[in-house]
Amino acid sequence: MAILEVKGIEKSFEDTHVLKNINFSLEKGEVMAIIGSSGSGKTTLLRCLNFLERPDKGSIIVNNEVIFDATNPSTQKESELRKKRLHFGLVFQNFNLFPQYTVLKNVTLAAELLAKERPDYKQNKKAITEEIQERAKMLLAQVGLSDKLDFYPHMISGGQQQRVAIARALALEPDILCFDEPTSALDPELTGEVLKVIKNLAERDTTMIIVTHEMDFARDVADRVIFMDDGVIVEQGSPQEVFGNPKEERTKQFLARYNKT
Amino acid sequence: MNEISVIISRLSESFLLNCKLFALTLIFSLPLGLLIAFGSMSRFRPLRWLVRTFVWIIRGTPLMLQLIIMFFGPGLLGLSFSWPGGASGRFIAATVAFIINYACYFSEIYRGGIESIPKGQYEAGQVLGMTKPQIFFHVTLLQVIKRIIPPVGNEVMTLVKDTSLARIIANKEIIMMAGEYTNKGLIWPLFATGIYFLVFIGVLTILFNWLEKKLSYFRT
Amino acid sequence: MNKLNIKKIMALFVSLTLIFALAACGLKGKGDLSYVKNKGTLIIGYTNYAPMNYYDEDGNFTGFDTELAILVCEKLGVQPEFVEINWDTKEVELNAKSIDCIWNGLTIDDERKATMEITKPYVKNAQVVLMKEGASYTGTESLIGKTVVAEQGSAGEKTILEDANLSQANYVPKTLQTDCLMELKAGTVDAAVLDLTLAKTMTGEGTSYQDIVIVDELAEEYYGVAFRKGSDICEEVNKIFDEFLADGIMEALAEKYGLELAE
Repeated sequence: MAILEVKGIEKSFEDTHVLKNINFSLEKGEVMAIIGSSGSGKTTLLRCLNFLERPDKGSIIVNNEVIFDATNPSTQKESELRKKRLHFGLVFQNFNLFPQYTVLKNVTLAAELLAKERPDYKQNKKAITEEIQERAKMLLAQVGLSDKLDFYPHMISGGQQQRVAIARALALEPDILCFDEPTSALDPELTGEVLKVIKNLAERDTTMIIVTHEMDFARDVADRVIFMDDGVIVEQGSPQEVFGNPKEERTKQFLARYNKT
Repeated sequence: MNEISVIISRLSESFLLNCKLFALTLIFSLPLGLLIAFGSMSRFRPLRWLVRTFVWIIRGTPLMLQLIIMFFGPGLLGLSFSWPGGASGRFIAATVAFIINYACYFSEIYRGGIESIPKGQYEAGQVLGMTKPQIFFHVTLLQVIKRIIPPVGNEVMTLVKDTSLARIIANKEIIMMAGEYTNKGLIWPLFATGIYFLVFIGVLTILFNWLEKKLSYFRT
Repeated sequence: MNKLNIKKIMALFVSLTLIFALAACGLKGKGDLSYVKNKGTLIIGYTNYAPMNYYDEDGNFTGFDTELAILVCEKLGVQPEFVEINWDTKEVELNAKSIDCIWNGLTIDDERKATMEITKPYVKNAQVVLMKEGASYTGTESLIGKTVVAEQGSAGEKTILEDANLSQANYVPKTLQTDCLMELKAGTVDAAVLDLTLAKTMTGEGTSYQDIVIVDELAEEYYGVAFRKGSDICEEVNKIFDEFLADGIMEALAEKYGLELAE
């Protein structure tokens, strides 16, 4: 059963038609890499999934539940969207950690706020808070930052900040974890530590969609690759197929630029 | 010597009026400024236009003129409303004019602070399932406060000195009190008023430096 | 918006305000007496200015205008309420009805008569020439080439600059009238031109300037009480002034404060 189905997504900004009839599906536990040049619409696609942008046409189905349908306004209410965003997690290119909170608090904040809406919150407040704290510490250990719990974002490196961002996204147990060019803003020496964490997540069967420029990494970690150009999916398939044996001319041209070896 | 102590006690007493005006203005204009800021950032176009025009007018005309219009306006225009008699009416009129004036200045500082927070902060809150109020209070508020402490500090110190403008509608604050003596030929009280303002602002300077320091544990 | 539009709007705004203010002025005068009698108080605008309105050593509020106003209000059957105002905005205070009259050694001139209703003159002021006792003086011509002082921007300065003879003297402006007295006493100047009321209060027997005397009176001016334009209180007060003159009450007050009544 597909955990995610994306059908007929279209999006325009002013006069620019950025996404044209995007269709794909994703199985649970799959890692999908999206590659393409700037302006191809990959970031917009990711933002549509997280409802940071609203698609003009199309539908998004998660676990067989239609969480978005452009023809049905009732699926687009802000109050509804908020809950639906929780199906997805998003790791930003620029981390976007909250500067005024410690690393630990960055990871626990959203979960604590959500917990307040639980009907059993008042009675079990202590237990719930402890649970959230423990989970956060566990996630931070998983990304290798147990010794930085009380540090503030400005005190740690870019690579470390991005790893915190990953832990923060995981804290809410999203069905699908999305990455928007997670290493593009990092110094080359620091990309390794972040890619390592993502690879680790892949090995744990985390469902992920990764927009990236790191071709070698995509080849290594992804189960499926989608190549986008000018708002359409030009080609999709396994990494071996797309990287090793591209069928479309545009794909070949794009990869040629990256394959110096 | 006795003369000097009498003058100093009268000066000090009249400075209390400056202090009262200062405190009341801050208490009301700081929150009112936030309301006005939201109005000027509203997505409802007519409201946004109305508020921004209002802020333009208030920031674009001298406070002294606003004081005169506030207190004398009702009487000159023959309105049924009139300020209470005596010194209290003049003080209330001055306070209202000050509150409106400073609320507008604060609103622009708030708006600048809020709009300078990177969009990414809001988006991070959104994808983590936070509501708009939650994002405002838990994510952006402290960041905004940190950014606006210097300009707010500036405005507050300007307010201290502006309070003496209340004398234009005959509120007997410290400079008007000193004026009594200059009229009689004694000038030193006028220059002595400077010391009161200096000390007040000195205290405020220390306070705002302390605030800045307290929020320096993180960097936006 | 282009500049022309802004100018037009500003001009319109200013003229509207003026129209309102002037209309307000004209309307306020009529029925003023009944307005004041109905509320039972006459609000008197003043500034701290000896000897007209001031606090004495014991902290009592007194002065020539103060006492006179209290007596007049008694006759009118209303309570006097003294309100300290800012001299720069006295006309606005009057027209906005935050005060009902300006009673504080107000000099009568044509400009003021045009915008306010002023009583008949009740006290005379003049610019007087002061010199050290014993100095020779035969008229303003005897000061040609001598050093004369006055307060900068005062009526005294105006008198000096406009007088045919005094304008040929060495004029030195001072910050305050009281500074002029100091210079006279020190002998660093020959003559000073100051307010009559100030001169009478601050020089002569019992003051720190015992040996300074008035040698001449120039540029006489008169004080009056100002009400809103068209006010009917003015006439009432004039009648009361006449009564007080006949009774000698005015004379007694003037003596007490060292002032000269208007002729």
